[in-house]
Amino acid sequence: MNLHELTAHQIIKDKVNPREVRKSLEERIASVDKKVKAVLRLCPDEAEVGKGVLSGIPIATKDNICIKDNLTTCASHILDGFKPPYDATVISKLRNAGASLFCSTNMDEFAFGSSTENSFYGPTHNPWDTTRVPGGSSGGSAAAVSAGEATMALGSDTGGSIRQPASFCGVVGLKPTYGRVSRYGLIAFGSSLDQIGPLTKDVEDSALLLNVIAGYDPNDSTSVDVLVPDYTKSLVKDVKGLKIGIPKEYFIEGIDKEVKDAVDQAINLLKKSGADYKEISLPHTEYAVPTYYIVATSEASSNLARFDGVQYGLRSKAAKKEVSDLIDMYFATREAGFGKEAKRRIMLGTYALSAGYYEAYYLRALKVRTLIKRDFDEAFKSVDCIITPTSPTDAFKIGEKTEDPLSMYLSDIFTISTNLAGIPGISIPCGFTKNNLPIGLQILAKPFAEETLFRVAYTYEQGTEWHKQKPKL
Amino acid sequence: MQYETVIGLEVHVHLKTKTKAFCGCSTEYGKEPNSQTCPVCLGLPGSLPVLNKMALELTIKTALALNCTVNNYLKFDRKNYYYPDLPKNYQISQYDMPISSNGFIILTSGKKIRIKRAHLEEDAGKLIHEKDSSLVDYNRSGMPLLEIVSEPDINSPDEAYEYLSKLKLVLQYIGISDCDMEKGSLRCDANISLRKMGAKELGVKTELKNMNSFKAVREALGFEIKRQTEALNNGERIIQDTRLWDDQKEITTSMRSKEEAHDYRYFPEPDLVPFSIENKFIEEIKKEIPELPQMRFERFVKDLQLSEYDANVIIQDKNFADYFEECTRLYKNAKKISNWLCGAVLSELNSRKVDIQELKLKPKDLIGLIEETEKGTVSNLVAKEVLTQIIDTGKSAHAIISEKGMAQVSDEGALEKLADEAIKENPKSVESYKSGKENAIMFLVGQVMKKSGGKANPKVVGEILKRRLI
Repeated sequence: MNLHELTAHQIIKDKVNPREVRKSLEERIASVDKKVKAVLRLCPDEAEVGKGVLSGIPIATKDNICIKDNLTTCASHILDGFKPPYDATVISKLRNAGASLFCSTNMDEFAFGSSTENSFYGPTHNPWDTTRVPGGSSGGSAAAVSAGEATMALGSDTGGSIRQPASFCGVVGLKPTYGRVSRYGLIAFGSSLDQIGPLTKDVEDSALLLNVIAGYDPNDSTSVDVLVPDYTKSLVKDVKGLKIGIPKEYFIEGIDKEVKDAVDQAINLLKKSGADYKEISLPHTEYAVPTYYIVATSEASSNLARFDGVQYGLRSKAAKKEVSDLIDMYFATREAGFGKEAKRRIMLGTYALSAGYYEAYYLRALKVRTLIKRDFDEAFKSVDCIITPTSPTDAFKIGEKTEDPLSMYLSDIFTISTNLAGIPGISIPCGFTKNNLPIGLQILAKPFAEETLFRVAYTYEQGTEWHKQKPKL
Repeated sequence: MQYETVIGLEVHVHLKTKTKAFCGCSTEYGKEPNSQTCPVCLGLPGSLPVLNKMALELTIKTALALNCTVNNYLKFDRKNYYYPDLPKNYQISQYDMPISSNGFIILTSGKKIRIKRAHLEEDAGKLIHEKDSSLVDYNRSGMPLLEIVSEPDINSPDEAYEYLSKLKLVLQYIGISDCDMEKGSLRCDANISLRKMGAKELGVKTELKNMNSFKAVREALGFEIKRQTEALNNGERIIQDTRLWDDQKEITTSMRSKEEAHDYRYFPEPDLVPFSIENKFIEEIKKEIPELPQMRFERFVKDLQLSEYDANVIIQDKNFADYFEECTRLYKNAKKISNWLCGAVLSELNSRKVDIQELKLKPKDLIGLIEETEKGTVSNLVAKEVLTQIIDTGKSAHAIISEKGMAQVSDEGALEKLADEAIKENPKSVESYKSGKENAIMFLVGQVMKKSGGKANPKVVGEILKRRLI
């Protein structure tokens, strides 16, 4: 087996020289990334291999996680040249665990998107079919792990941005409970929704990486002081007596039959392994997408206000004026610096928060959000986890949805509620469509029950071979 | 036409915390620009605020001292607007649920000025304008600010001045701020409108900014009353706008009209999770509040029999009042101490431009001096000279009096000689005394005092003179 195909736990178990792994990954990038375009830039190699549980393991990071003195751009023109003077908390934790920061990956600008087409640096391609999108917004991280360009990766998930690309690229993607992983140093999109999480080749690596990045952070008031268990202890092949909920609202028209069949088969496998299942209802599911787009864009409009050309990043002069005053500079910078989708979301959010509209949009969205959260609270009274498809379809074609933002927004229909409710969710490979494109199975659990996710995901993974399939590049 | 003036004041005060409101940077004033900054107060991408507990404590302390109700639920909001001194282009503030509300301050007249709300927020940086460019200093960015908003209960510039003075005094007593307007640790904006005497509805208001002292607030309000009165008398309408006070020209000029006013798009700050404040926490803070100026004033008048005037002078500075109280523990005649403090000591403070803490005069030395005058060792006049020397040298009154031979002369033989001289030299005064003007003798006493170099015991001199002039 090629070194670039190894998982982190294989590298650790077999005591593979991490320097050689890194070298192999670099060669892999040199040979395939011109087709995949997942990697924005390599991190400088450290002189020494760090010590710790992830000693020397090369890790890719989504380009919205701050690395000290390293370009961090959110794949946006407006952050041209921005080198944060500090490490995000997850980066410090990785360094402390001895991990090797390997590369920064492509993404939808500021995580605005579901296809990684909204990047200032151009789209990333799905390693399984390079005419298709890898999903998004953590498409670079998912594609890099899938294509053997990184051993493991970090992404961020605001409405499905880890799970949906994991599903499209055939890798494992975990969105932890809101507050499980520190957001300090994650360049904010929707502050009340964002979480950093692992994108890995299998479930075991996901647990390994979460072990390192999880935990309360005094620098993030929204992180929660809940004990971090050793997640690798949940890697057991045993779901006996576990109650699975199947939400009827998720198996609706518009869902791809092949996706539905794959998920049904996955449920059957878990049933055979001893799990119980029942149909449940999440009655407010249909309001999730509109609620999400009000909450997320409102927060984004405020979070992105700081990109104004004053302190860092791009600064543009008004094109047609001899003298450029402050307001001209603001306009010119933001006009040139933000892409189309970023502008759309800033305008949406600004509108939703405006005097006279706030009550009708933002405040109402907050109320619906509470109802959606209650749906899950109610459901988890009778089930241990909920299983759904991650995405209603397999990966779509590049350019297919770029002119139709609404259909693009709907591709996150199964993942968005999770973020509104703050609960954890994982996507694992559960089959392939006729197009030979991966299908993702989503498992959801109650807050801070990542252990349940790992147990179910691991049991399923051990009974299947999907995660071992590699794209031919 | 007679108009009633309606004024509401918005005071911003820097809380005296060691570190900023949402990060660990120092709040020290006057440091090298941008030397006291970090990713959080620079608003760098990815940074997150964490509330400084001290800022919350000082906020609650102030709210309690201003008779406010402290709300048990702490929630922050974002106030969105673009300005280059505001690094995130939003300010963390409190909108619909301020930490405290419904307080008041009572003026000397007994009138109650209600305080609508007091809330915690972060300050912005400072712009430094140069010839062709502007620079930003973010040292101030993220400093904890308390915004104290009054109800429109103030009806004159003098009332506004008194409200501010009383507010400042309370803030100084509880030690939450320097209240130094020059350093910007206290700032004040005013809303002012006029309405016909007796009318119920409020008139159109203007907002006044850029006043750098309480005096400027009073003057700006005075100008605005004149301006608005003239406009109304001329049948013009008042335009709702924000106006800047020009200290040089002593006028206000329009900065922006209501139409240009911001829509701040407030919404709950998602980076700071709202939380409940326990009553126990509030009670603990309540215990730390010292006696406030109004109570102290009342106690000084009632228990120590000071005149209202003196009591008021003494309470105007907490350290001064503390000093006074320390003296009363050493010497029982509070009235006498107050006379000394409000007279000779205060004039020493003024001429030396120092405050009581900086003055080299220990309470026991002041009391020592008072006791010397009591004993008749020195006259009041000489005592003032001794006071100056105590301050200059730090020596005790007794030491100075004996070293410099300043003790009062009570030896009748020596004084009789001087008295005879004075009688001889001032026949007119002698005449008027003899014709019944008893006060004329004071002039003669004064003359003897002068001849003795201030050392004569005036009581003894008076007796000698009276005896001689019978």
